[in-house]
This record gives sequence, structure tokens and C-alpha cells, in this order.
Amino acid sequence: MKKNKKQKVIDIVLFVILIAGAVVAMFPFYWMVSSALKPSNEIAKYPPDLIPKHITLEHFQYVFRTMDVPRTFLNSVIVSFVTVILNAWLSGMVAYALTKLRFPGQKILNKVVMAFMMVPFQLMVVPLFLMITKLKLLGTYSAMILPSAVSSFSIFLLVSCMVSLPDDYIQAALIDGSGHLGIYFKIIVPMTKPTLTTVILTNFFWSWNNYLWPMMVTVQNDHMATMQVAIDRYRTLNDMKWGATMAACTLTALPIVIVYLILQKQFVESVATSGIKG
Amino acid sequence: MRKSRRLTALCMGMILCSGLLGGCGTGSEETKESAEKVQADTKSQAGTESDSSGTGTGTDWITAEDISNMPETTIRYWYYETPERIELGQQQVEEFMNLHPNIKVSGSVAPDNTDNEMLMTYIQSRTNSNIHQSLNIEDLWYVNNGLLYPLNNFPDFEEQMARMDPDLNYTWVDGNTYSISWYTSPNVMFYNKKMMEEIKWDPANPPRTYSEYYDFAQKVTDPDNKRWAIAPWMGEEWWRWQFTMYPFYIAANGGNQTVAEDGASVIFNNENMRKVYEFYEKLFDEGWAYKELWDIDPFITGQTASARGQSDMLASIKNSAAEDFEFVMGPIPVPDGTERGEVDTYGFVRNFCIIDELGVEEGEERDRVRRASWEFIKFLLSDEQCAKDFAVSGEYPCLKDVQENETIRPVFEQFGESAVELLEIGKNSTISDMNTLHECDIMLPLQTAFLKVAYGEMGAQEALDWAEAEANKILQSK
Amino acid sequence: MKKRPGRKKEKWDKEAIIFVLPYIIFCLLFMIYPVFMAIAGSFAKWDLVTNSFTKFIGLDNYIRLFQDSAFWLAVRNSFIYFAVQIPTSILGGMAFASILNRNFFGRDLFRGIYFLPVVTGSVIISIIWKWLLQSSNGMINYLLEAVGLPGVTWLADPKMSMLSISLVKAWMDIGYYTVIFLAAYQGISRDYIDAARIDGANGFQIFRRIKLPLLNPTIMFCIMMATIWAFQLFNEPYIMTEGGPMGSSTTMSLYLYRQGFIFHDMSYASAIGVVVGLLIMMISVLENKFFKRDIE
Repeated sequence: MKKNKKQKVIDIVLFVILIAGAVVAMFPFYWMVSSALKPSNEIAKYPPDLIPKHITLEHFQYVFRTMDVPRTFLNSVIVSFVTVILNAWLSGMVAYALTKLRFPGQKILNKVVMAFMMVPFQLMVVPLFLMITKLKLLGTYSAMILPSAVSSFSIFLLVSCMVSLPDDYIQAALIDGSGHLGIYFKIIVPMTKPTLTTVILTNFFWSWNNYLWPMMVTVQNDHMATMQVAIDRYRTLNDMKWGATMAACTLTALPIVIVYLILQKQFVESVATSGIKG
Repeated sequence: MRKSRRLTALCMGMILCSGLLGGCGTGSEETKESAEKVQADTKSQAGTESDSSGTGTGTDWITAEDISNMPETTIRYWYYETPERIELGQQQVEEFMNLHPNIKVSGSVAPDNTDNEMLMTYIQSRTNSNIHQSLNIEDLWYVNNGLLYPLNNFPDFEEQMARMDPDLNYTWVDGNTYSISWYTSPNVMFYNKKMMEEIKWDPANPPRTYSEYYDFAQKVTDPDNKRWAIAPWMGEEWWRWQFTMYPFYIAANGGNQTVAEDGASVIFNNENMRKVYEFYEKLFDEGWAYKELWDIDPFITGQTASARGQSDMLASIKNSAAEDFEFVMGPIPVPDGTERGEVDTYGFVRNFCIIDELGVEEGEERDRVRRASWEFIKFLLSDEQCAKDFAVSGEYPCLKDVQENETIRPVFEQFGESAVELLEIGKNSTISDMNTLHECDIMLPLQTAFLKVAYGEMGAQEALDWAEAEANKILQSK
Repeated sequence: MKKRPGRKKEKWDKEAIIFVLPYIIFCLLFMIYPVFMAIAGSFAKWDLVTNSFTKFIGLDNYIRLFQDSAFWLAVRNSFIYFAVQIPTSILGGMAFASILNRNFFGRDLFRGIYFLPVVTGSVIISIIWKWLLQSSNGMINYLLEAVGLPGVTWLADPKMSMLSISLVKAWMDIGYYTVIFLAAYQGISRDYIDAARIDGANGFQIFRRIKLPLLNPTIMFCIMMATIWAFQLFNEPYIMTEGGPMGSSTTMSLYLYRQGFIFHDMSYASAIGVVVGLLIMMISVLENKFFKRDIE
């Protein structure tokens, strides 16, 4: 009896901790949305209002007026989708080649992949930008997609997943006369689904939220800007338009949150399974 | 084993070398040469009409009166800063293109933070704005790199200059004028009227000297109720110094000089500058000044009793302050016993300049781009366009007759008395010292010294000595 | 793979070309070329106007780096972040995961909520937190003071700035690690735990002797990834404090950016980048050794 009571008390305490954690996790989002709905002269005042006294849609209207939201949204979607698909496809192929095939320079490639994970992006920015310019790709979707089409992180995850796949299936298929390409698509891909899902979803979030590179590359081409870049338009120097910025942030975060909530179960489970294998 | 290692090393070596070579020879010789040629050309052409075209149709587009049969030219233009200015910029581009069908303006929003920071990368990739919105001292950096085209080469340049306030423009030591002023705002002090009344201070008499200001600050500061006297701009960048301290220095000094005439050393380590640093030192030490980096001035949210501000403060107040916010304005305070000189505050000026295309030979194409840019600049500087920009931003056009001008007057009326009052209080503003190409660079030690004083790392004189040493190092190393 | 016994030269799978070639092309263009150009640039004077290397200066940049106190401050800051954020977020993730492991009501919902910050991206989060941590009108201090605690100068105090940024980032990442560890916990067979209980072990001993070793691969993975990301921290300090006050929250990546883009000294910036890359590699190797030893 006593044990049960003690357990119950512990349970309650822990539950409170969980709730506290959830509040802490959600609070900034609540703040973002509630600020986006407050009128301008109530946003930054002190003491701040936890619950908005008045609700207004003026900031959202302002954002829609000053930014081509559908086009910007479309840009974000296109860039993210294509990057993700390209990345998953290329990384998967490379991971397969690294783990199941043999070719000269294999070890070097392995080391190269690992090494590039550790290179800070800021180091490469200027030469990369100039390279993109030379290729006349500035201001195109390609400029935003291609540099992220290779990602050591994805390769790393997929390698650690494929390494533990049994070779029997592959051997059997080879004996049956199938080529490696066929094996890859028909056997390996289904078997690595969880990890692939992780890779796809992680890269999607990362690509949607990417800021520095798309900003540099869409200079002179506003209509190509993604949503993260467009938020900057409202972050002016000493007269920050908080309402508009928060509204823009909300609009940018909203699609991601919706996608995430819908796919939550799959995503979280896939992250978990692949995370362990690493 | 050894063989593959050698192979690897060889490959890496080759790639490294090609990286080096790739960095060295890519057409850079040409661009350096043409940049030098520009400098040589312009130096010899200062102020006179000339035929600067090399090859081509033979028409000198720089001096031609009528450009309606100029072949189609494309120029790029960046709009900055606020969504309203961006919208106006888009309209202006369209209007201009209607007026000049043979000039195509490719307008776009300037990327974040490109004052003179990432700009070089964009210049390299020829995606920068041909018509650059710059700051007078930043111009000098571009001049130093041979990137700006002297505006005095255009025949109607004098005409345009005559419309502008001469105090806000400058001519460089080589006799050329590389930019023309667009909008300005002087720096003045703002005070929260209600807080003044609370401490029984007469709002009609804002503090004019340091001790008056100390008195005001001491009475009004109440950290328990989150109220401070002033929130200076605390960032790390060099340009913040222009707004935090330069107005005070100019007021205390009666002049803007920070660098010696010959540009070889700094002269700012003088009594007046020291007084300004000590002024801020006291404000921070006593806890009257708020020390954080802010995005919106706490003055507007009613948490500081005063602020140093420009005309965009008026717009901010209108947008973001509480309904019942009231304020008064006053001049920048001077040290006790100092007479106000001919100039007593800093006037921030936004200029237009023309950045030459990198990698294009001197010749007709370059001239066409320059001329097209000049036409666009004239368009933007017309009374009508100035009025529109003023309406949208609250920053005053640099026109000499800005207060009497018929086209601009309705905008003044729209803003109300404060707009006129601010201009009155700040009428003795001046731009910065232009004695060295490295004005921007030497402001960085000054701003760092300010931060050192703010955070108690150094005393005022010590920080100033340190800044002097650093600044001289910069001037002497270039 | 078909291996013929007795043959010394091994055949390789020619199909590998299809698999690997696109990657190699991308790699060369968008990774190898820029990195090598940047590395080469660190050994020469890099003139941005003409984008060429004008003079070979050898190790000058690196010598200067060694004597640059601002750089060492940045190193210190990055290490503070490394020492604070990684343990906090990983241990926090483990803690929340172990609580959630007890089969709480709404477990999936909690898991989803904790993961939300990870999904939203650092730009938006940095903007919001910068505001929340203001001393003048920020909610955090307001709430602290409402319950009688003193407000803290989160971002404007040179001693606190890096710590605050680390805590914000830890907040952001806890959800990620919660998810990973929750699944890891669920992968631990109950039999081990039950057997240990029967043998009389208490909760703590169970954790130490059974769970921890089984979790080791996961922990190692998390730490390695976290290390690599930790030294590349840029968005948060850039947006929240601009690296101030007095450089107290400038990380190495931010310092690199500043040298390259604000002071236009790309070759010095490249040298910094090279050093950061090498540092990350060294630390990763050390971590690898340390944790591999543990498993044994």
C-alpha cells in the first residue's frame, strides 16, 4: 500500500515536470503568435501582456500586402522538396556504394565524406558564391538546391544503417542476375525506410529553415526568395516592426509545424530507430 | 598501400595548386587594369567635359544632351530598409522605365546588412546595385578601390548640386565629387513629456548642458520600475559610433574634425572628446543608462525618459508607441561652460553614388550604364520623388529649400509640427570629417572604446588613449 | 561479390560509377573547390576587388591567429558553449525520455511538443528569444520578478551572454534527444531489468550497470553530432547578441564571418576556418577514442 502511494506521488511530481517542460517548450511559440495578433502599440510595452488585450489581423494583412506570400511559399516548397529528394537519392546511392560495393578510392571517399561534415559553412561561402556566379546560376532554384544536394550527414546516417544490412539478399539477387541498380531500388530502399525517412524529413526541416545561403543567392532576384529570407525584410534596424516580423515568422513556421504534426509519428519513430543504429 | 597514399597526396597537392591558380589568374589582371585606368582617367578629367568613349558608336553618352536614341541599357537598383521604401522603390522603377523606354532598371530588395560588408562579393558577381545608396564615409572605401565614377563628369552635375544643401555634400581631395546627397536627418534629443512632468521638469526647457542632463537623469531613473534615463545604442559595429557619440562630440567641439588635415594621424584625443566619454562613463556608472542591445528603442516603449534620435524616431513613435505617448525635443547637450559653436550635431546623410561595373572595359558600354544610372539618380532626386520618399520614411530630402519647397510642403504638413521642429533644432548639423579614406575604419576603435567604458573595462581617458593608438595604427598601416 | 581464389588483383564493381559519379561531381564543384580555394586563400593575400590572390604570405595568418586575443576569446566562447549545451541537452533529453518511458498519459503528445523547437528553425527562435531575454521588457525577467526572483541580465552581461545562448540552444535541442533516447529506452528489453530487480538491484544500480552501457552507442552518436554542430554555431549569437557584449558571445564561426565580411580580410577568415575544421576533427577523434574505450 505504502509503495503504491509513494509511486503515485512520484508519478504526480514527474507529470508536473513534464507539463512544465511542455510549457517551456511551447511558450516562445505562444509568444510569437500572440505578438503577431497584438496591435502595434501594445506589442513591446512593459509590463508585457501575457494574454493579448486586443486582437488584430493588421500585421498579417501587412505581410500579405508587402510580400508575395504565395510565390515565396512556393519557392520554399520547391527548394525544400527538390533538395530533399535529390539529397536522399544521391546520399542513398553513395551510402550503398560505400558499404556494399567495392571500387578504387573507396576509403578515400569515406574519409572525404567524414571530413566535410566538419567544415564550417562560413569558410566556403565566398568561393561557393563566386562559383555559382561563374556557372551563371545566381538567382535560380539550382543555386539554392545544388550545394545542399550533397550532405555528409545523410550519407553518414545511411551508411551506418546499411552496414548492418545482411548481405544475403544482395548475394541472392546478384546470383539471379540482377544489377546493383536494381538491387538498390528493389531491395535496399525498402529495407532502409526508417533511416531514409529520417534523412528526408531532417533535410526538409533544415532546408526550409535555411537562411544565410538562400539570402545571398537570391540577391537581385526577390521573386526567388524563400520565406526565411523574406522575414528579414521586416527586421529593420532600429525601428523593428515586431508585429510584422512575428506575423512573418508565424507564416513561415506554420507549414512546417503542420507537416510535422501530421507526420509526427512516422518521423519521430524513424529518427529514433535510425538514431540508435548510429 | 604506399602507392595509394602517394596518389592521395598527389591529388590533394594538385587540387590545392589549382585552387591557388584559380584564385590568381581569372581575368583579374584585366579588371585591375581597367580599375586603374578609371582612376587615371577620372583624375585627369576632374570637372571638365571630355570624350571618354573609346570604341563604339562614337557618341559620348556621358555628355550627350539627348539620350533617347541610346541603345538599350540595363542597370540594377537595390531598394533598402523598410517595406514601404521597397514598395516605393518598385513604383519608382516602373515610372522611370516609362519615362525612358530605352533604359531597363532591374530593381530588387537589398540583401540583409550590405552597407559595406558583403557588398564586395556582390560587386564581384555583378549583382550589386549600380546606383548605390551609401554613406559619405563609406564612399571613400569604394573610392580607394577605384569603384566609383565621379559625378562631376556629367554636364548637368552643377545644376543638380545647386539644388542641394552644400553642407551635406563633400568634394574629395582629388577634386572629384563621387556622390550626391539624397536624404538626411540631424540628431537631436527626445524626451518623454510625461516623465518630465512627473519629476517637475519644465518640458519647454530640456537639459542643455551635461550637469542639467545629469540632474534630469538622476531624478528620472528608477530601475525597480524598469525606467532608465537613456538607452544608447550598444552594438559592436563601427557605424554605431556616429549616432551614439559623434553628435555629442560635434556639439562639444564645435566642429567635426577627428583626423588631421593630412590624414596621417587622428586628433580626436582632445579635451572635448574626453568630456563626451566621461559623460557616458558617468551615465553608465550611475546606472542611468540602459546597457542592452535593443531592436526597438526603449524610449518608444516608455522605459527610458530620453533618447538620441533622428527623424525616423518620429515615424517609430507614430507606429509603435502607446496611444497617449507625448514627447518633446531638444538639442544635443554640451559640456558645462561650452558655447555652442557653428555646428552642434551630426547630420546623417544618405548619398547616391555610381558603382562602376567590374570587368567591363572603359568604353561605350560602361558610359551608357553610367549615364543611365545618372538619369535614374536625377529622377530619384526630383522634387516629386523626394516628396514621396519623405512621406514614406520621414527622412528629410537634402534639398536646399526643403522647407519652402512647394512639392515637399504637403508632406511636412502630413507629419505635423514635430517634423519642422526637429529640422529647426538640428539645423546646425554637419556631416563627418572627410580627411581620410579610412574614416569607417577608425570609428571602430572609437566604438569599441565606448563599449569598454560602458562595461567598466577602462576609464574614459584610458579608453580614448587606447582608441587613438589603434586608430593611428590603422592610418599608418595603409 | 564474386571472388576467384588465387587472384591477387581484386575486381571492382563497375556499376559503382553510376552510384558515385553524380556525388563526386557535386562534391568537386560545391565542396572541394570552395574549400580548397578557401584553404589556399589562407596562405595568400586575398584581394576581394579582383578576387585574386595577390601575394603569397605563407603562415602569416596563422601566426597572427595565434597572437589574436579576440580569436582566443572566440575559442573560449565556443568551448563554453560546448561544455554547457551538450551535457545539458543530452542529459536533459535522457531525463525527459526516462520519465516518458514510464508510459505516461499523452506520451506521444508530449514527445511531439518537445520536438517542436527543433522543427522551427534557429532564425525564428533566435528572434523570439532575444526579445524574451531583454531586461527591460522581456517576459522571462517579468515572470521571474513576478514570483519574487531577481531578474537576470541574460544577454547584456559579458559573463552571462554565452551561457544564455547555450541555454537557449539546449532548450531547442532537448526535444531532439528526448525522442532519440525514448526509443533507445524502449529498445532495452524488460527482461534485463526484471532480472536485475529480482536480484535485488535498486533503480540507480539498474541504470548504471544495465541501461547506461546499452545506451552507449546512442550517447556516442549524439555527442559526436552535437560536437560537430557546436563549433559551427552562428545564427544564434549573430541574431541574439551580434557577438557582444565585448566579444563575449562571439563564437569561432561568427568571428570568421566578421573577419571575412566585415573587415574584408578573407584570407584571415579562411585561416580561422581551417583552424576550426581541424579543431572539430581533433575533438571528434578524441571523443571517438574515449567512448570506444568505454564500451569495452
